[in-house]
Parts: sequence; structure tokens; C-alpha cells
Amino acid sequence: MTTLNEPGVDFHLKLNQQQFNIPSELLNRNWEKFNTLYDTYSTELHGQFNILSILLENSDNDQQSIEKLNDIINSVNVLQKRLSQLQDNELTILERIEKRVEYFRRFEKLRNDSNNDGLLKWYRSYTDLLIADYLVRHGSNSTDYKSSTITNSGIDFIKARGLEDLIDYDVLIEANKVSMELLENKNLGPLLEWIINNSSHLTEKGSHLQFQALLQEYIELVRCSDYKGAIGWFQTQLSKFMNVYPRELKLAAGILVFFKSCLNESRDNEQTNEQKLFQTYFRKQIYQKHPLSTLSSNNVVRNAELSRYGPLLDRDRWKNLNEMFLHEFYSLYKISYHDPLLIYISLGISSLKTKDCGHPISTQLVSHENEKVNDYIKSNFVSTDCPVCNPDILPLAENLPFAHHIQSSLFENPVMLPNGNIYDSEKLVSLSRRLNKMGYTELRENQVMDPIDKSIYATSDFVKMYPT
Amino acid sequence: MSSLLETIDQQWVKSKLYIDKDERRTHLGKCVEEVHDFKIQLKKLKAHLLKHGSSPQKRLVIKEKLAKSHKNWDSSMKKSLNSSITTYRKFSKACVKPLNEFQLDSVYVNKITPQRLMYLDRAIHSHIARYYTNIADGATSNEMLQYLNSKYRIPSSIAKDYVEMANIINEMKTGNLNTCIKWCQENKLELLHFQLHYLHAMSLLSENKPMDCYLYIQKNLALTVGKSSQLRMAKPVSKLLAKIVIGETIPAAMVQSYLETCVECFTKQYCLRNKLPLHSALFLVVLSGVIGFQVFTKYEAIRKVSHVDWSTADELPFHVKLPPFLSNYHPVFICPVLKEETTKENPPFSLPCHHVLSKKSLDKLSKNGTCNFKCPYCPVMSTKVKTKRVNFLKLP
Repeated sequence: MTTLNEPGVDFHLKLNQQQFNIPSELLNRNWEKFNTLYDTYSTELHGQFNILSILLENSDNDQQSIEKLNDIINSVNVLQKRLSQLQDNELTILERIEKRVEYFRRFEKLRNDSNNDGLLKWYRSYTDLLIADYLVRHGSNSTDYKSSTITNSGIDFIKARGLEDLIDYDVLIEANKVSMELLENKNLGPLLEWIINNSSHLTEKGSHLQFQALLQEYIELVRCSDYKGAIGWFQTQLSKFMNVYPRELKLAAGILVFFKSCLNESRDNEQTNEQKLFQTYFRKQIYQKHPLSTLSSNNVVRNAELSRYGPLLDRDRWKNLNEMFLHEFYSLYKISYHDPLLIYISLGISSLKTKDCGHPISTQLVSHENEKVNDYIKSNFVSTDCPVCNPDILPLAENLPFAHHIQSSLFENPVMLPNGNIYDSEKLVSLSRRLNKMGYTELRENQVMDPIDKSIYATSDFVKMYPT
Repeated sequence: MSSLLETIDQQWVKSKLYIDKDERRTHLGKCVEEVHDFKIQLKKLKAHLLKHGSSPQKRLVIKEKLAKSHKNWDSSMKKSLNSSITTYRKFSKACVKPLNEFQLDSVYVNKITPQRLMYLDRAIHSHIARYYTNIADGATSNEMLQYLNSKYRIPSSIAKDYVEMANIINEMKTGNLNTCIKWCQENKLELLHFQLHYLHAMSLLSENKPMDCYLYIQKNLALTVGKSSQLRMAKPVSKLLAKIVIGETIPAAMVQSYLETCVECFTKQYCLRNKLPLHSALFLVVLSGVIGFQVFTKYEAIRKVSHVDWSTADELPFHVKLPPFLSNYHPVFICPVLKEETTKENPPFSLPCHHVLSKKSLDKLSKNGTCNFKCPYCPVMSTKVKTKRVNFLKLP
């Protein structure tokens, strides 16, 4: 047993299920490709062989037979090249699995040897993997034109740390690429392509993603006034969904007519902040007094109808589409939807967070006439290494629950000073000695200074405490 | 002993995933070989056809051979393909499925506010700057800062504290210990100073320069070892001297691992002297998360079957046992009566007998200060007026 109270090896494997889920899925996909490729060639070769055997029946066709046989040999040759590429892929994936097993073997050995320093180092690489995962998922991508590969800060970090075999960044970057195109460039291209390549998985799950993506393309065509294109898209891509999504398609057809009026409508609807506040709190529209002239019956009818189209034209649809895509993508590879780094941080903060966190002692300090005493105490006694109190972590901790403690965890030799402050008596005495030694104070042998309010007490004032 | 890792490693990665592990031969690999063999056969038959094509009898034989070899090839391809996918499926069932016993997402109940994620970016910056400034490309400090900024957007305000340390470490790794030795002298770090000289002596011996090593020991180590207070340092030095005498060298790997020890000692001292965190906060939080994870998943599993919900209180429903270096940052006082942690709103109070209780339990015992009460832990009687608000303070 080590003193870290860390989980066992198998638990670590389970925590890192994605390190094995992804390669396992990749192996299957690679096999699919291999198999399809073979099937295509196999059918073609069957035909070729049939022709060849007919040709061979007749001795007049010698020249043609040889040519046919040459064709066949060429096809087989091409097949061999293409298959061996896929087989190289297989070996790469298998090697990744092997490297990962080695990684956890290393942990197992450190744990069995109770090598705490080694374990901390191992956990640092573990943390780096989580950081890399987060950076790859969210980093902004840039294309390296020399090798035409996509890179981002996460991939740079992985390469600098030599972690390439432990994280499937190529898969994560694929998701990031589609996601960024959706959110930043409002470009559906990569998403539609992904949907086509993964349609079997999507239909199996009964996903709405394909329909929603196609609908979005239609809406964008309407938005940029390409009505002809929109109608064409509707007829070729959307009409086949008529039975499944009749309501959505009716609305979609409707915006073709009402689009312009919808735009005016949304301009009319620009609300003041006050109205928005009212709406968020009471969840209903504030009563508006319209000038009589606009209250024509025509207007009222129009208002009632147009609100239906709002959701279709909402810009948030892009965000929803992205979320829907990520859900499908991550579930395909059995990757957690939330960033693992955030999950670990949430659990870690809650395990650490005490009621004292974020209440720095520095706010309680009473300053001493000698600035040097203040500085010395501030730099040596006030700061805490508590990770939750760290200025970068504390804001993340705000809404998270506190740790649950069943026992007090205080310090040795607690003594109370007359002002009610309780300290470790030995440490308090040694602090006062050091202040004297630095020449900041002139305390007598039996005196101590309270570092918080700077009052001076005699050690005979110490009251031994019995906190349970 | 780990059973799952053992299974994955011994049974699968080292055996069943391959036909022959030593040659890294898989079923798909066999397919490729079969395509190759088939191609060779076809070429042979083509040669036959060219040679004997004029004879109708031989042509018939060739025709049959072609058909047969095509058929055989096709069936063995299908067989290998089948074996391949069956192997994957079995692997998935035996190794991958057991890993998915729980979902990571299921324990992520208390979510981090998305609006706060910019602070996480800063925590990541500090983490990278703390540990990896030395892998930044660049000869000068400015170039290193620029690299960190352009690659990871780490502001130089965060990274600049670590540049000197990174430079010294990089020098050490290329075998130049002078700057580090100087730094040790300035900071009066005798032990590290000694270790660095010792490291250099070791590297001289491993480069097979025993005389240089001997002279170096005489010049730089003898004096320290001679001091009676430093006797424990004499032992490794005498070992080194013995190796010189009997004409042995030391392996380079040993020097390398000692170098790493020295780098770590130096890092520790440098952070300590410059008031930099020894570990990044992010690392400590993640480590606590790993340790806590086992309890969270256990609770989640129990919650699922017994239909209890996460308690609505702002406290975890269970205790996570963290190692001492992760749990002694703040004094935690649990009121022995109410079993609640004291807070600013419910502070600890001391009774005349110097037992400590929380304000809430004091209010209950004294019926809001209206009557006398006995200390729950000893026979002393008390009133609320006689109690005193106390404050636990932890000195480092």
C-alpha cells in the first residue's frame, strides 16, 4: 500500500475506458474498410474470371486471354497495395493498445514498489493527458499547409510531451473540426460529410441529427434568399422525411413565404432590457400598449402566426446542432460527452474544498507598526498552498459542494491565547523566536506575538485546549 | 494483483490479437499474404499459358487451375477475414466491455460553470509553465517566452518566473553544471552543491576518464567529504574511488538517473527559494479527483439501486480520504455534538472547561442562553456568557 490512497490498477483502466474503446472501434472500422474493399474487388474479379474462362475455350482468343489475365493480375496487384495500407493501419492501432497496456503496467509496478515519487510523476503525465484531451477538443485549429494536417495547441502539447500513443487525438480533432466549422463559420459541409460516412450508426440509434442538419442547410438557403436552391433542396433532401417530421417540414415550407416578414417581426421585437428582465422572471410577455393605428386585425393575425417560425430561424440552432453532433460522435466511440478534465476537476475540488477555502487569513491581519514584521508574516505565514484557494481554481470551485469530513483535522498542541485564537504552541513560539532573530521584534524569552492581531502575550497565558 | 490488466496484456496483446505475436502477424496480415501468393500463382499460370497455350489439352488444364486457385483464394480470404473480425469481437467482449462498468459522465453531477472556464485556461497555463518551460523552443529567455505564448497563449507574466529555472535545467541536461553549481553557492545549498560535483565526477568516470575523475574528486569533493559533519557523503565517493582503483567504469544509464535526481532536487529548491508552487494547483486538484473517483462511482452505483438522490446540501454525501499532503491546508473543526464543520456563521466556542463546541449546539444546550448546562464531555457546568468565541489558525 502506498500512502496516496490511490485506486487500484483495474480501476484506472476503467477510468481510461476511452483509451481502449476508441482503438477497439477503430479496429472494427478498419476491418469494415478492408472487407468492403475486398468485396468490391472480389465481385469484379469473379466477372473477369468468367470472361477469361470463356475466352480460354477457344484457341483463337489466345492474345485476348493473355490480356485479360494481365488485367486480372493488375487488379490483384492494386488490391494488394490497398489492403496492405489498411493492414498497416491495423498494426498501428494494435501498437497503440500495447503502448497503453505498458503505461498501466508502469503504474502497477510503481504501486507495487510503493514508489511515491514515481507515482506522483506518473500522475503528472496522467494530468498532462487530460489537459491534452481538453486542449485538442477545444483548441482552435490551424492547418499546416506543408503537410496539410490539422494542428492545434493540444496536439503540439502531446508531441512535446511524447504522449502520442496514449491519446487518440486524430479522433478528437475530427470532432473538433466539424464542431468549429459549425460554430465559427456556420458551415455544414463537414457535418453533412460525416453524417454520410456514419449513416449506419445514426440510423441504428434513430438519431435526428441527419434531418436537423439537412433542415439547417435549407434554412440557410432561405436566409440568403436563394429560394430556388431552397426549393430544390427541400424536394431532393427533405421531402423523404415527410412521414417522420411532418410538423417541422410544414413550418420549413412556411418560412419560404414568411421569411421576410419574420425578419421585420424580429426587428419589431427588439426588446428593451426592462422587458427582457420581466420576461425572464415572470415567463410571460410584458403587457404592451400599442398605438391604435397598428392594432389592425391584419397585424394581430400576422403576429400570432409568425411566432411559430421563430425557433427555426433562431441562431441557437447552430449550438444545438453542434451538441447533437458531439453526442452522436462521442457515443460512437464511447467517449465521455463531458471533458474528462472537467470531471476530474469537479470531483477533485469537492474532495478538497473546506469551509475555510476562499477566506484568506490576510483579510483578518491587523498591521504592526514595523512594516518588516507585516511583510515577513505575510510572505511566510499567510499564504496557503491549498489548490482550491489558488486564484485560478477558486472561481471554478464556486458552485461545487464542500468535502464531507467526519473528523476534525487540526494540529498538535493547540493552545488558546486570551484573544481566542488557537495555535500550535510550538509553532507559535518558534515564529516569535524567528521574528526576534531577524531583528524585527524584541520579545522577551517567555513572550509570543500573535501573527494575526500582533498582540503580545506571555507563554503563561497559554490555555491548553481539548478540541475533539 | 490486477486481473483485468493481466488478461489484456498476457492473453490478448501478447497473444490472441495476433496469429504470431513475434512476427506481428495478424489475420488481416494473412489476407495480404494470400493476395500476394495468389498474384504469384496467376503470374506462373500466365507463363504457362504463354508457353503451352497452343496445346488445347494444356490450355484446359490451365483453365481449370485458374478456376481452382481463384476459388481457393476466395475461400481462404473469407476465412481469414472472418477470423479477424471474430478476434476483434472476442477482444472487445473480454477486455473492452468490462472497462465500461461505469460511465465517466454519470459522476459529473456538480458541473463547472461554463462562464468560468477562462480561469481553467489560466490554471492550464500555470501548469505548463511550471513543469514544461524547459521544453520550449528557443535559445534566449525571450524566445522561450514567445514560444510559450504563440503555442499555448501563455502570457509571459506567468511563464517568466520559470524561465531561469528552465534554462538551468536545460544546461544541466546537456552536461553543463556550472550555472547550477553557482546558483547553489549563492543560495548556500551544500548538499545539492555536493551532489552536482558528484554527478560530474560520475560522468567523467562513465566517459572512461578515471584520472580526470580522480583529480576532480580531489579538487571539488575531498574538502566537503573531509568535514566530520559530512561523513555520510563519504560513502558514495569512496565507492567511486574504489571503481577507479580496480579500473571499472559506471554505466551511462546510472549517470542519467542521478542527473534526474539532481534536476528534481534543484527544481524543488528553486521553487522553495522563489516561493513558486512545488506542484501546480491543477495537478493537485486532478490527483484528488483520481483518488476521489473511486468513492464517487461507488456512491453512484449505490444511488442507482437504492434510489437515494445526491443530497441537496452543499456538501458531498461521503468522505474522500486524501493523503496527508492533500488534506492539511486548512484547520477543519467538526463540532462533536452536531457533527458539522464549523463555519463563519456557525463558529466554534470554547467552554470554561476548554472543550470546544459550535455555536449552534451551544444555542441548543443553553436554550438560546436562557439556562445553565453541563458540558457534554465533562462534569463542568457552564452558561452561555462564560463561553468564548475561538478561532483555529494553522501555522505552516
